[in-house]
Amino acid sequence: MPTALYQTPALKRLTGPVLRPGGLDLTRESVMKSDLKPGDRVLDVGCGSGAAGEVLKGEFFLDCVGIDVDLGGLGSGTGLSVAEAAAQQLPFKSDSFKAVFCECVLSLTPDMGTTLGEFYRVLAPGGQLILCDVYLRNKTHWQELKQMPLACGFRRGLGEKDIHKYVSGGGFDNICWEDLSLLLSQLAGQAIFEHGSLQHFWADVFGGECGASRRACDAIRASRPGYFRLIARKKNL
Amino acid sequence: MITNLGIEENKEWKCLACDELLKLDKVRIDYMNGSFTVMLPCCPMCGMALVPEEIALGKMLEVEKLLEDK
Repeated sequence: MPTALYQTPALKRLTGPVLRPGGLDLTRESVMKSDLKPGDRVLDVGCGSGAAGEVLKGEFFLDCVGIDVDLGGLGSGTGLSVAEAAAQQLPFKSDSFKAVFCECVLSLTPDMGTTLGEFYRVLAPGGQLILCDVYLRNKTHWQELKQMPLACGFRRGLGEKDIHKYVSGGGFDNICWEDLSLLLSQLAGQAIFEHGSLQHFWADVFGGECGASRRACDAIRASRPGYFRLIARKKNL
Repeated sequence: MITNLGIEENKEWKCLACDELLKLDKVRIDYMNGSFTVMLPCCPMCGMALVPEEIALGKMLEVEKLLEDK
């Protein structure tokens, strides 16, 4: 398994502990768009440092549980209930959460269909899936992306239609898609200001300028990556 | 204010209004619906920032192309 982009110091310096476009403000906005109420039990998939979980718990008074495949990055004293687990094999009872937050994680899971099936299983009837991730607006470079020696959402090579198909195929309905590509452009813009250019940013990610960093930069740029938020609901049985 | 000198060469610039040496500081730039944090020489008194040409024509141009989705 290649190194993951979210583990690289270059991305950590750029985004801080949240490691995704939009930061914690996007998490806050997602809660506002949901119908969650204080006390509702929610799952934060790929909780990482626990920063988003703390917002859900501390600002919205949600009963938040976090999972991550590696809890090594969890901030000390977060007070968040956590479990070390993979998104495609959740250690929770069926119908036990009012919402599942999955921010920039689904595209990194080995089998998106299985992962979405698990989200559906643990959500209570009528519960909401809140998904944010990258997607491609031009899929013609998917082979170059797939060959990148770096684990990141771009490698999955998914377009908007593919994501809709996965989510609806998982049984969800009331699918609401929002294009938030400006947030990804803004993050890339910040990388330009800090590194001088996107080529230099990718060189930093790969530990120095090399053929792989140049190919990654070119393939990602040509794929016109975007960012989205999707809110869907488990059917009320 | 825009200058054609690089950031390092801007160390001795003074703010005319405040007579203060400019110091590198984090500045928030709102540009084409995006918001970015950039290190720029600034007046510690009034906050006036100096934008070197290399940023205005280099990084900002690349950011502009990115935000225009070209």
